[in-house]
Amino acid sequence: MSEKLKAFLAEPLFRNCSPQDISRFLPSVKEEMLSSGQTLFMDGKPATRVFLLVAGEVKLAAKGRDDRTATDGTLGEEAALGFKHYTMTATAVSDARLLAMPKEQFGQLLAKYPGLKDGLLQSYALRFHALEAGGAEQQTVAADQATAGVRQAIGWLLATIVPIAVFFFLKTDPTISSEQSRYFLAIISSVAVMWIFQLVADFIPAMFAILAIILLGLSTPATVLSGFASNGFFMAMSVLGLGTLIRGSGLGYRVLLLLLRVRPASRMWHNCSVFSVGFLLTPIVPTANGRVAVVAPFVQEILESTEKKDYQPEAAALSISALSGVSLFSSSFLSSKSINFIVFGALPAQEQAQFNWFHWFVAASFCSAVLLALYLASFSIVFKSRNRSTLTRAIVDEQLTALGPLQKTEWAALFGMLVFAGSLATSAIHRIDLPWVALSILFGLLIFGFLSKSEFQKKIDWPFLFFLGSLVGLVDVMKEVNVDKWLTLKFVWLNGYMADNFPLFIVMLAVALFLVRLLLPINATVVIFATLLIPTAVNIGVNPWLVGFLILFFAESFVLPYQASYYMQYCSITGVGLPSQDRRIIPFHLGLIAIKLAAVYASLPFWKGMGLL
Amino acid sequence: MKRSSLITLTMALFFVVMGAVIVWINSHKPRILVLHSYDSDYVWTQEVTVGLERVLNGKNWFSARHHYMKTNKFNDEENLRRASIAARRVVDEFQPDVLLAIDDYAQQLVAMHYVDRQGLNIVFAGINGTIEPYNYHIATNVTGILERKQVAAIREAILMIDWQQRQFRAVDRPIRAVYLYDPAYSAQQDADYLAGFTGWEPIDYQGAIFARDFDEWQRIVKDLAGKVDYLLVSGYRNLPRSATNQTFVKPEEVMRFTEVNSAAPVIGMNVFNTKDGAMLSIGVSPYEQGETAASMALEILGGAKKSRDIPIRIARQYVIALRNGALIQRNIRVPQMFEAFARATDNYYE
Repeated sequence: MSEKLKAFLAEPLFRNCSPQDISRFLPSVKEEMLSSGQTLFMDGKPATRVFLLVAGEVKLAAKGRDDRTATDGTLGEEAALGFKHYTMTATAVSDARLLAMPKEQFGQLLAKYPGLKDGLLQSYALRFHALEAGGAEQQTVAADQATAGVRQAIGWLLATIVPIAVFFFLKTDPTISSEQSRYFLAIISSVAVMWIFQLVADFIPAMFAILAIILLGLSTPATVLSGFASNGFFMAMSVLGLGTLIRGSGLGYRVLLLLLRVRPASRMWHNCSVFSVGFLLTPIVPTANGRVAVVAPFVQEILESTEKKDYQPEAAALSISALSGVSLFSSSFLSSKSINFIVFGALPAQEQAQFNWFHWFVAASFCSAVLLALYLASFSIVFKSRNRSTLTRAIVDEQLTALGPLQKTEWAALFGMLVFAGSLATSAIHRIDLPWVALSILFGLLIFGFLSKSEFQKKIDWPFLFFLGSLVGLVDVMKEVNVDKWLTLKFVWLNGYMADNFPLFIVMLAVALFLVRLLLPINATVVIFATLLIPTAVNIGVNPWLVGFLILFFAESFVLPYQASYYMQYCSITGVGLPSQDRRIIPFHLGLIAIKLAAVYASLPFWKGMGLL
Repeated sequence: MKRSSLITLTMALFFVVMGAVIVWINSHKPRILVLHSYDSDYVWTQEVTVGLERVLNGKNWFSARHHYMKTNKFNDEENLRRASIAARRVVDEFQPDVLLAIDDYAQQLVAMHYVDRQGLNIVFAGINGTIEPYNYHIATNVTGILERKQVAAIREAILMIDWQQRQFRAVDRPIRAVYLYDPAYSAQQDADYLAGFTGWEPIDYQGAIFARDFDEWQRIVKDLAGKVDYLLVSGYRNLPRSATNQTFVKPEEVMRFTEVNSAAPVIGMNVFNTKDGAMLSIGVSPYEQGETAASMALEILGGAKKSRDIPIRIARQYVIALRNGALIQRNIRVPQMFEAFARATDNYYE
């Protein structure tokens, strides 16, 4: 075995890659030797390759931070994470041996193994964290990897044992209606373990559930796969396509510059602009990570023009503005996040027809307005700033001039958004359901070449769409085998609160979601809560959209970066926003949860007026 | 003109023309909104839907949408308010040409608010009582089919069964019958209709008894022993378990109890009563309700007639359902044609 292959196989990042893929990838990997003092890449230079450090030491220097030394792992992750430039300078401090991986070939590997991106992101984020924490991080990373290995082993063991235990335990339960229900619950318990322990990407356990249901004959393929022909599936696919175009078009950046041009010297206006762009992108870019990718580089640019004494407080304020702008209103629009489509898919057909994009927004509007008002008030108190920025209108004008007139892709993004908005406004005339309007827009983008075949293949999150289609089908099977009624029976105490004391149910739900989100990622949390609570709501006459909305609303809360991938991504890009950098960050995020509760309680009369309560 | 510009232009032309054609066709497509009072898993609703589909299926020159108000499951004041707001919002958003409202709650909570609304026609089905409470008698945009309990047929069936029974016992008093009902609005309508029926002779119809909850229902069923010869039922789906527990009792549980504990044979006035457990049911045909309402809707959409030109019809068809086990238990034999009819309509239960 060559040294190159040995080094490759020893790297934990690639442990899930198949030997065939590693074999195909290896020819593009070049070995590089660096002498002490030689520079590997420089801050601001085009990020074209990712490196794997095989031997030696490399010093990493980033602006505004202490230097650190790497002795193993990946370097230059920016190339694979979609950055145009490196964000630090890497210099060998001893003779070093590295493997250089071109970003194009790495991109192919990423397309096949999306989990690699998480690994790179984590490595990149941990490096920044480590820059502050000192040298102890190497041990922490190693310990984390060891812990992850044990966690995975335990997870797989439980994924095997739990369904068997569930099946035999339920044999003694007289309330369960049939053998099919027992098999279904056993399968779901195994899938839940896989999600909770994050053993594989989210869509893979869903695929296992589909397979198991069909192979055990619990339902017909037509029912299990019904989600792939649902309105929600095509709506999600179309919105993801449009979002890809908008995100990549640069339109968001242009809007941000135009906003900033109004009052370039005002720090508060910077915050307003960053927040506003995040907010404006919320309904049209269906991932928070996508919105962060637009907003975060800009925050970095603003901070680079900040004087050293103002840096930390301004960085904290801008981080809060950016993160809140991109995430706070994720549940207000159906198209804000892919996970919203999961909740949409779990709603009964009648509610799906009612809560299309526009009505979803209307129903969530009051709560969102209260949330916005409370957020702005609390932000202006906590992050009050009278400092002036050195940024001038002339600089912003220059940046706008550099952008030039609207590009073809920006026009396309604008056209897509206008058609989408126009079709909503004229739905009473054209009478076409929104999923098909969205698909028409996607069709338009494809025929005019704004979205190429390869972009359609690579940039649309197909694993998520598979996840969505599978879950919608699972909900249908759940009804078919009467597990929804069984769950309603089992959670009769909860039904009581949901049906008779909704205000108390809200606070119980918020607390439960807060605690669960400390352990589980948002997708798994939402899926588990939605699967449990939405059918229960239907069976006891509580509006299922409202329950689904509340799950999304409270689940989209975080205190620490690990709780949200876009928070980690934001920290990675900007190097700021970590709770340790400003003591106001954690209390403010905790306060936002209280603000959310207040917004929900203030909305109760509104929802009552709408007939949802 | 450059070649690429020409291609772009022709593509744009294709996109715009196709889009305009589709939008135009859709905007001119007539719409039917079928508003069900009950939920989609309710047997009556399912069978009305079968009737509707017999007429509507296979026709694609209009769009149809169903909305279920679920008042069979949740019908306290608050839930009715919510169901009303939600359904009216659906009507306002969908803007149907024909609102096909089925059963009383759909009229009471929604359709009556659209009486004489420009551009909207109401076709009703399944109204148990009169149309006056909904102002349909003075409306210019309403027609439909009334659901009337087949009292004459029920009377004949009782007389036939009773004639057989009297071969074995000497009875010199008239046949006594009562109607037991729950708090549902439609059950009250049925009670009023039975009270107004004038052709009971020679049966002595002793009126209707209202049960607030299942506790009371059980007490009444037991108390009636020896006091009546036939117990009529139709509505018991909105029966709370007790004064303190407002959860509805499953209809199968109510009928199972009633069939086992009633000294008098239980006769249902809805065809699904037998599916729930009653010995014999004679009910209005849900298929006829669906078929007739759908045909009226198509006549209106086709432009042949306005709703005011289509006379209101009264149900003419009925369906018989039998439960053999209950008949054997009571040692009752029914005419062979009852069994044949029940089997033919898939309403015969062992």
